[in-house]
Amino acid sequence: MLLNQRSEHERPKPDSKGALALLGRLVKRPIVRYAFRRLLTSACLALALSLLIFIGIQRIVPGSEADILAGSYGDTPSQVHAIEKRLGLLRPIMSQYMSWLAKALHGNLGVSPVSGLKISGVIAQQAPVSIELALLGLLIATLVGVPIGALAALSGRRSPRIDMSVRLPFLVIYALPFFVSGALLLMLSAKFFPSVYTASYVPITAGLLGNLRSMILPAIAVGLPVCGLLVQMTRATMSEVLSQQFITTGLGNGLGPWRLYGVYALKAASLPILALEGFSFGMLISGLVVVEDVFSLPGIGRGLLLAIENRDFLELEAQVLVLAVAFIVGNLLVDLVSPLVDRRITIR
Amino acid sequence: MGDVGATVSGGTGLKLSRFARRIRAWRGIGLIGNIGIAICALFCLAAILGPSVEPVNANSMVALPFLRVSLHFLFGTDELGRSEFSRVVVASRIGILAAVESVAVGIVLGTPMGVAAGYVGGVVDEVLSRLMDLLFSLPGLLLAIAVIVVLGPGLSHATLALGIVFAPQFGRIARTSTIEIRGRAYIEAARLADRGTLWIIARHVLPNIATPLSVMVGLTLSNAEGSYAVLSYLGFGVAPPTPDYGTMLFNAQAYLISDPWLVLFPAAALVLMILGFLFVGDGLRQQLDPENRVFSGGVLGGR
Repeated sequence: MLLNQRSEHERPKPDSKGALALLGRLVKRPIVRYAFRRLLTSACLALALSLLIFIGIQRIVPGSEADILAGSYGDTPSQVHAIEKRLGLLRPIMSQYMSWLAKALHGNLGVSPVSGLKISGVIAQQAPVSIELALLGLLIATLVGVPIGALAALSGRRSPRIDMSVRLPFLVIYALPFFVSGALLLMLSAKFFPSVYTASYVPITAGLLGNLRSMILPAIAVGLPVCGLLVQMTRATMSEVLSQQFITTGLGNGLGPWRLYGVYALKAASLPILALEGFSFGMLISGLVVVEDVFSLPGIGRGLLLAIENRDFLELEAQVLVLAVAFIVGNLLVDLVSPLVDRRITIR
Repeated sequence: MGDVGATVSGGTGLKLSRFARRIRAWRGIGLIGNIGIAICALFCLAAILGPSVEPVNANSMVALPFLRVSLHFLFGTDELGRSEFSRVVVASRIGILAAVESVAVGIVLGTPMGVAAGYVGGVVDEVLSRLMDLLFSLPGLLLAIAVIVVLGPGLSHATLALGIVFAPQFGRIARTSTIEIRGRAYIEAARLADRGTLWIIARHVLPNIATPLSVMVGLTLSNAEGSYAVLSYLGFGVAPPTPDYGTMLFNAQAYLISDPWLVLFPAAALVLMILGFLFVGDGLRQQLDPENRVFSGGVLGGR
């Protein structure tokens, strides 16, 4: 079933029948139904994950919230019991989960027993750092990786030696663990550009330039291995596209190389490339955790490691959940945008 | 590799000796694959012989800290005055052990799940597939860290955590390959001959899904090596005195500007090791799975 054929006929025309009829017709369109189904499965996945993380952290990890609260005052077991009762830790786990979920959906993630801070406030402070780092890293990886991958595919058709000399350095870059790329960048910048990078984090509200100066190295460190992956995958996709017949036809019709390769071929390859961006989200989130630790950035990834160190499991729970939901939402976005990018895609 | 030898020599009609067939099979994995094998062999040699041929014990403080590169201390000495060269050589042990162990755990956990899902089908398939989806919906490092938070740090826990991360990948491949061969005539025949399910799985299913699984093993090893290094860098790996690339790099980072070689040598060794596994994995993929069906996002891609 080809999407564009169907949608030509079924495009809802604005009429006076009211919003309900329009909605009804909209729901009949496969793309809308597909989007609904994808949304629903993602929500289910997030819900199941939240349950898994809640039970894992509340029941399996030794040391409960009450122990931590009591420990700082050196309380007796009976006092620990009283605290457990007050916090509702003696109720069945499912009822605890339900009340935690109900609060969490209203933005109330509880109060950390270690720091005494509201967890939603902590997350609200950490999230912008991580989001900026991830977006900058992805941007750098895409802007560098996709053109180089495409060029490698193009040159690879003429000479495998050029192809290899483009791919090999990026293969090494792909193999760099995030902490190695971070350390190397720090080393190089200290040696050659000591004035560019500022080691302490500057929030974006305190000026864009200062913020960029503190973020540029971490963003490159996150982006580099992702970029290596994108180069390899773009090359593979592009070389497949280049062997298709419409390229030969285009050449025969006298299309210029920029138009043929830069527009038509890249357009045909855009869907797999988009899927690869989705594929790289997991890597990106792993990168956040490590790079924030290397560069001491106050984001969610470093916060998560600190929470483990402080045994602050209520905060850890929230941080893991936020990163997991970000991962799910990222993949959802890729899936929702894909049919818009390439309308030949078949929706099942 | 026996299978590969058979397909390579099949066309010639010659009866080659086992050894010759093996050589031919290796030739099939390409130049990069062979470079990978050479790198892996070097590290295996270092891992096996390392402690017995190292000039200085890796864990004893033998000289002043931060000595430069010299003939006596090839890579200098680290912040405690231990021989950096010995430590880099011996650290290959933990590296190889961690990679192999976590991939093994991944196979042992994932393959039965995938085979059961694919062979039985129905509700079993639905439940197991959703479980694998659930594991997949957490970014790998996050899942590994979550498992380690529950179990506590250490080499065996870290490799177990990574194995749990890799299990759904093996599970998915085992499932799709099993579904592909489930309806084949020889399996029908075995079923009609009243063979038990376990016998059929052991005799027919497992040998037939071994090829895609071994492609996956090759591709996962380099990933496992890199992921373990990250875990040990974060302090979840093997305990401190044992040489290990992740912890060595973490400790060296404090002296990044003053003594950069303390970072450079272990980093180079680690990256070389990851690349070695990556090259072998991709060579295997090209040899065993030229249409790129197992892992559509092949890292090296193309031919």
